[in-house]
Parts: sequence; C-alpha cells; structure tokens
Amino acid sequence: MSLSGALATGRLLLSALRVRLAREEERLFAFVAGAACWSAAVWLLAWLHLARKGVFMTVAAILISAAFLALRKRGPCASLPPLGGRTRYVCAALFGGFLLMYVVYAVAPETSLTGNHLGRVEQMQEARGLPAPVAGIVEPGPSAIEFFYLPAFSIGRHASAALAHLSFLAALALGLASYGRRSGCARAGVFAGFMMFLSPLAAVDATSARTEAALACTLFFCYYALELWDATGRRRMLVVAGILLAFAMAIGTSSASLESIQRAARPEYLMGKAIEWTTMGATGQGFFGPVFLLAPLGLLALRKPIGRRTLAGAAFAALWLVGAARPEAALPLAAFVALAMGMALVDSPGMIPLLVAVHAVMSLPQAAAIYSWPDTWRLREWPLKAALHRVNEDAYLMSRMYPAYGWARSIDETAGKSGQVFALAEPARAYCSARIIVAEESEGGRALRATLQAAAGRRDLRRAAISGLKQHGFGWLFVPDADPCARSLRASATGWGITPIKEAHGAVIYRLD
Amino acid sequence: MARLSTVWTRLAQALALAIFALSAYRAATCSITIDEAFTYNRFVGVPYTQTLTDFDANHHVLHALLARLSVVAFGISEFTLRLPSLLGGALYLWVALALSRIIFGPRPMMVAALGLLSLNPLVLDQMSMARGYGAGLACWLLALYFVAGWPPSPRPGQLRAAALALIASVGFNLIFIVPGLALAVWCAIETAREEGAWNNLLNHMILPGIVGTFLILALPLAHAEAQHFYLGEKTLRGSVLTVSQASLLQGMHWFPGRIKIWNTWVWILADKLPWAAAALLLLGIPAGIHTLLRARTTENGRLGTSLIATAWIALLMLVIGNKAAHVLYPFARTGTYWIPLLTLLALWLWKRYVTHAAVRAAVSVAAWAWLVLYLLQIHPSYYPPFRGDAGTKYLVEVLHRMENGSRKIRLGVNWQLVEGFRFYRHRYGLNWIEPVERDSLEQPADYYALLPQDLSLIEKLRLQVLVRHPDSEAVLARPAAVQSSP
Repeated sequence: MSLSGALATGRLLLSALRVRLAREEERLFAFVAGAACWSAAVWLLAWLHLARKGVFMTVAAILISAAFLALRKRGPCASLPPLGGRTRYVCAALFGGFLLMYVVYAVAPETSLTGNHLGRVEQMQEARGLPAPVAGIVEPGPSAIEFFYLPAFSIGRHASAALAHLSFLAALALGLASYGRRSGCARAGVFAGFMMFLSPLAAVDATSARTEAALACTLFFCYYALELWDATGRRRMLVVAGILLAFAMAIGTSSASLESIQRAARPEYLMGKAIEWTTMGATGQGFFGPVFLLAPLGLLALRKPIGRRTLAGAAFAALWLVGAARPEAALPLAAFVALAMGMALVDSPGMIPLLVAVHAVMSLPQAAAIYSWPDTWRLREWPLKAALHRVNEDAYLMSRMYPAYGWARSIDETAGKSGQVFALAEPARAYCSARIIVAEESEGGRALRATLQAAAGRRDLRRAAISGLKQHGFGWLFVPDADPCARSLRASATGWGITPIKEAHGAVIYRLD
Repeated sequence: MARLSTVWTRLAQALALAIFALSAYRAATCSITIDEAFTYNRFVGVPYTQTLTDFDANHHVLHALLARLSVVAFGISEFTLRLPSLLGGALYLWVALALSRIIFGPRPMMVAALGLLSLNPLVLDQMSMARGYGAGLACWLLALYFVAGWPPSPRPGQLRAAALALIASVGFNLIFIVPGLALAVWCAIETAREEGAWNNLLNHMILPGIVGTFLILALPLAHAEAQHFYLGEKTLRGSVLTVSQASLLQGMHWFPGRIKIWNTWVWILADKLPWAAAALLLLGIPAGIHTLLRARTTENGRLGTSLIATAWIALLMLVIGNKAAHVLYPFARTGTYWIPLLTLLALWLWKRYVTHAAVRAAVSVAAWAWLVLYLLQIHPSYYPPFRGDAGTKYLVEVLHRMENGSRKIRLGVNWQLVEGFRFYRHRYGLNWIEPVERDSLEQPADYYALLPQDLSLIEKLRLQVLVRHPDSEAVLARPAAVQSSP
C-alpha cells in the first residue's frame, strides 16, 4: 500500500507541476517524490490520531484513483535511449535474480538489531498516531521513513516495511541507470546501479526496515532533479528537488561536527577504514564489497563536466558520513562514488562488465562469507523457510537476535501494551508493544540512569531515584545483569521499592511499587 | 656474412634451450626448498579460499593459483609445483633472446648478452624454483619488450598486451609493482607528447592494469598487515650489496678457500658493484637525452630510453617509499628486476656509445669473463641459497625405506627442514610420521634430521648417524639404543 500510495501521490505531484520526463524517469521520480509526499500525508494522519489501516486504505484508494485519472489526461512520454539488446537482457536477468533473493530476505522476519524504527512504528500503530511524549525526556524525533513504513506495517507487519525499504534500493539502482542513459554514459549508470544494488551492505540494509537505502535514494534523486533542471531549464524541477531534499533531511540529518570532520580527514583513518568498509567488515558492521576499493578511480571522472558535478554531489552526500562514521551512513556517498567510478571506466573496453561480474559473485552471501570478518552484518543463510513461515518464528528470531528478542518478549508479557518501561539496555523494540525508553538514547534518560547509579552506592537515595522514575510515568524498570546497577537492584529490591517480576535471558524486569 | 649471423642466432637459441633444459632438470630433481615447501603447505595445498584470503610476503598469488592448477591436473611432485615457474623461465629466455637481438643483432655479443641476462644465479634459480619471481620477471621483461616495439602512437591492442604483461608480473610477485609502475609512468610521459595518446594509454593500459592487478591481489592483500612485509634492507647501499653478493658469491662456496686471491677479488668486486651501478645510471642520463633527441623512434633507441627511464623512476620510487613510508629496500631476490635492467642498460650503453675498437674489445672480454663468473656458480643438483635443503628428499626417502609405515614415528627436525618434511610427508602420503612441528628438536624423537649447526646434538642425545647428504651435509640420525637395522 505504501508503494502504490507513493506512486499515486508522485504521479499527482508531477502532473500538478506539469513536469514532463522520459517514461522510465517519470515512474522513478513519481515513486521517490511520492514517497516524500505520502510520508507527509501519513504524518498528518498520525498527528490527527487517524493512523488506522482503514484510513490509510481509503486515502490510498482516493489517491490512486486521482492518479489514474491524471494519467489518462497526460499524453505519451518519450523514452530514454535504450541499452543494447543483449546488455539489456543480461542486466535484467542479474537485477531480477538479486531482487528475487532480496525479496526472500526481506519477507523473512526482521532481524536488524540496531534499528529502532519499527519499534516506533509499532508504538504509533498502538497509539493510532504519534505517541504521547514521556514527561521530562526528549526522545529523538521519528524519521520521515517511519511514516512511510506505518501504512505498510499496519497491513503486512515487519515484512511489508522491509519490502518498502527494499523498493528504495531498487529505485536507486534504476535511477542511476536512467541517469546514465540520459547523460550519454549509459554504461556508467548501469555500472553504478549494479555497484549499489549488489553491494552486500546495501542488500542487508535495504532488506531491513532501516533508513539508509531510502536516504541514499532520495539524495540521489534530489541531485538527479537538479541535473534535469540544469539540463532542461525547467524550474519546476527545483520544486521536486526541494521536496526530495526536505525528505532526505527528515529521514536522517547529519550531525557533523568539526571534530568528526577532522578525524575523518586523517589519511591513516581513511586507509584503515577503506579495507574494513569494503572487504573485511567488522563486528556488527557491514561492508560495500571489495570492488569499492577501486573508488579512488572515481577521481578520474574530474576530467568531464558531468563527472565534476557527480563528485560535487558526492561531497554533499559525504556530510551524512562524517556525522556518523558507520559504513551504512556512507550509502548515499557510495551511490555518487559508484557513478564517478563508472564514468572513469566507461571508455575502457571490457572493464565495466568484468567488474560488475566480479562484484556480483563477491556479493553473493556464500562468497562474502569466505573473505569477510565472521560476524559482520550481512545477508547470511538462505531464509526461504522463514520467509514462507515454515519455521517457528519465535525460535528463528531468538536464534538470530539473542538476547534482545527474548528481552522484548519478556517485557511484552509482563508490562503489556500499556506499560511504560525504562530500559538500561536495548531490547528488540520492533517486536515489543510496550512503550520503552532506552536510557542511552536521550539526555533525560542518561540523567535518570546516572541517578540510579548514584543510588546504587547510597541506600538513602534509592527510593527517591525510583520515585523519580515514577514521576516520569514509568511503571517498569528493565535491567540487564551486565549493568553496574544490576547487583544492587537484585540484592535489595525491597530497599529500592521495586519488585522483580520476571527474570529471563540475563536480565530482570522490575515493577516500580 | 649472412650465414655467420645465422650461426650466432642458432648458437644463442641453443644456449637458451640448454638453459631451459638445465632448469627443467633442476625442477624435476632438486629437493624442495624451505620457501617452496612453505608456499605449498600454506598457499597451494589448501582450499582455494585460503589461497585467496591469506597473506604473507611469501604469497605470490598468481603463482600459487597456477601451481595449484598444475598440482590438481598432474598430481603433486616437485616438478608439477615448479611447472609455472619453468614456463615462466621459458618465456624469460625467449624475451631475453629477443632483447639481446634488438641491442646487438645476430652477433657474438648476442650470445653473451643472453648468457648475462639468464645465467645470473638469482635469475637462473628462479627459472625453476616454485616461486613467483621467475615468471614475474619474465612478464615484466615482456612488457618492456612490448614497449620497446611500440610505434609513436601505439594501438589499443598493443597497450592492452603491455597491461596484461604488467598485471601478470605484479600478480606473480608484488615486488614487480615498482618496475611495473616505473614502466607505466615512463609510457605515460612518452605518450603525453602525442595528441590523444594519453587517453588511449589511460583507457587501454593504465585502467585495465589497475583493475586486473586489483582483481588478482585485492582479497589476499586485504588480509595483509604491516609486519607481513618483513624482507628488505634498510639502506640503499645495503640493498645493492645483497643483490651483487647473491649474483657473484652465493654459488661460490665450492671454490677452494685456499685460493685467497680469487676469493678476495670476487668479494671486492661484489663490494664495488653498487658504485658501478650508480655510474651506469648516471651515464645513462646523457645517453638517454641524446637518444631521445636523435633516435627515439627506432626499436633500439626506445629500448634504451625505456631502460634508463624505468631504472631512474624505479630508484626514485624506492627512495621515496623508504623515506616517506619506511618501506624497506629490496633484499637480494626481491631486487631481481635490477639484474636484467642494469645488464641491459650496460650492454645498450656499450653497444651504442663505445666506439673505440680497443675499448670495445676490452669490454667484450670483461662481459665474457663475467659470464664465466656466473657459470662457476651453477649447481644442477640444488639451489645454492637453499643448500641446507638439498638433502631433504633424500633423507625422507631413506626414512621411508627404513620404516615403511610399520609404526607411528616422531621426528625431530631442524626448523629449516620442517617445511620440507611436511611437504614430503604429504607428497608421499607418509601418515605414519607424526606431524612435524618447528620445535620438534626439543622433544624426544624416533629419528632426527639435523643440519651442520645441530651436530652437537649427536653426542648430547647419543645419536647414531644413519646417512649424511653430501651437498647439504644434513644428517639423518636416531637414538643409539634402537637396535633394528635399516
């Protein structure tokens, strides 16, 4: 529903702006720009506490009908210059094969550990809108992508949200290819599309309900819109670019500081990260695929004006990276770098097919297992049975998200949907209906945690610390055994004024008395 | 006259064939050396995944892959393991012959040039040893030969052929990244003067070269750490000395020590070679400039300028690498490429600029005498730098005859022989020998394989010497208390 809602909204937007694009471009722009508008519409519904499946379906139906009518009024569109006959079929087969594989991974139960996005989506669904803020605690605001996921989640739960995110990666790959076709360097665009689409990091990120692939896609289309404005002189493309830039900022802003920029600019830092981010990976971190080690070749694109503009886009996208030095934050940058690499290699016969073939082989989950660090974040064993719901979902999730999934289930069982939990570690919130505030995620949470730690050393402060939690509206306290406070809480729960209700998977859930 | 030139050509071809035959004989009969056995044990006789994701300075990736192919196709033996190097040796001889012909034409000095290029012990050993040096050197020299034969605006096919040769050379051994890059930089400088040629060079040589090298080396190198690059010299002079000593002294151990004048003379010669190399490089500058101005389009002229430029650029790269990133200078075999580079440069300068008949004759005599120095170091039955390994195969065969799998035995082996014993244990399927460890001499054992430096153990452990290998002086012994006879 999110996809059709986005497509319909996008078509209406482009019709309203009277923007004429090539047929291939129009579909892609309709989807990405539509996703921005559709998210805004869902945000409005959530703000009005109308975030219900029936409402979403009604609005989507209206938009689709309107878009259908608008489409009928519009005349035929031109096409971009086609790819060569055999190339087209090979590309389609490669793209289709990997897409099919990704769909299976996306439909399998969500096991992304670090994303809290579906946790918030779950809470929005429970609250039929934006959840009420917790007194005295300023939580990080919801990402725009969560509003895009919400209608999908309301129908197909986790798998639908993951599929919605996957559609952004597919749009990015197709967008890169169509940009190349429009700019007269189709092979460079196709190369960049495959570099992104096949990348192990992009794959694992896009098949989880996260934000980075969507951000990369939105930023690239923002650049694409600016390029179209520059090439055609149509000012209305600036409106599309503005909408996309706003959507990108709303998906995730960069918190780049001078210190982080200086650190990232150190050559030894860059050299060390280059191998880790492209080939080896690190514990819990993804990697782009070894072919990205050739990224410095992208600098050769500086020889051409289009290459210089692409690298300028890369410099802008790099802002998202310096703020958070994680490989997945580099996905927006990688799209531009891949395009620049394609432009550098486009006149060298045989290099592009060779590198795409190597990248495809190296990106297969079985091949990546050979050369990467053992516990990197990547697609692992083929989850066909899980995708077809032929395995016990609880057991499947427990084996892949231990102990976070076990914690989430325990919290749900004890605190219930209405419970408000202060957590000293992060459970798998995507599978938890209770309202959970993780201490580390906000200034107020960290202050409360500090109070608890201080009270662990002083008996006279303990009840005051717990009543402080209660004043913020918390009814439950979740404490893993590894936490510094855990021993004191466990030893003298009565002294704190709390009751241990459930102990599971190396953690205890206390009720605040 | 024409008949005479055919004679010299035939003679040179006969010499090349003889050198190849010698290399083939050594490949088939010489005992495995520590470095070859290490290559097999760690990079060839293991799953492909380990070949591609493990790294050490000893790992010559393309060689390991081809050796693996050879071993899989023809079974494991010293010869099959050395087959890629042997084929590389054949290629080297062909290119050396072609380059000698470019410089001298079909004349007597062509034969001498071929000998000087091929019989240097550092080069000759690598024509058959199961390492990547020989094949890498052959491919790099092939690239030089291609470049020398280019017209002013080379065709894409010619550029791609040179790129392929350079990719193979670096794939065979990382040391060729220095002369390979130097040659590529010179090509870039050369072609920059022709309109449109730079783009051609970039698209058909440089980019394919980078991509090809990347595809071969990226995965193993991703697992490399700074401490893996341990082999090298701290100073440039020290580096040149290791190359000159390996060229002139390594195979001379058989020469009677009492002929002191000879011994001293060769040592002095080896000691002075760095100065000779420096003089050669300096002399090359005016010669190169003169050739660029006068005869840069001829094959001979292009070869000369390419040699001078490549030598200087390679030297600069080594110095900059050492000063800026503390990269060590080459050590003996890791500087193998300097031998054909400087030999060809010396021969080219002599042919082109020494015109006085008496001087020409004197230099000719010196060249032939130099060749004699190389000939004196040829040892068909072993590789001089690895003389200690010469008897490993023999010791294993004796052990095999004595025990023949009747019981499980434990070996105490000098650490230098451990890799060789592991290789032969696998090659002959001697599973009745317990896995050989590096510290095995410190534990009680059923048999001991000792090198001359361990002979004190014979008395200390009361060992009975069973056999002694004449070349390596390695000894197979066992505790004297054991009564059964071989």
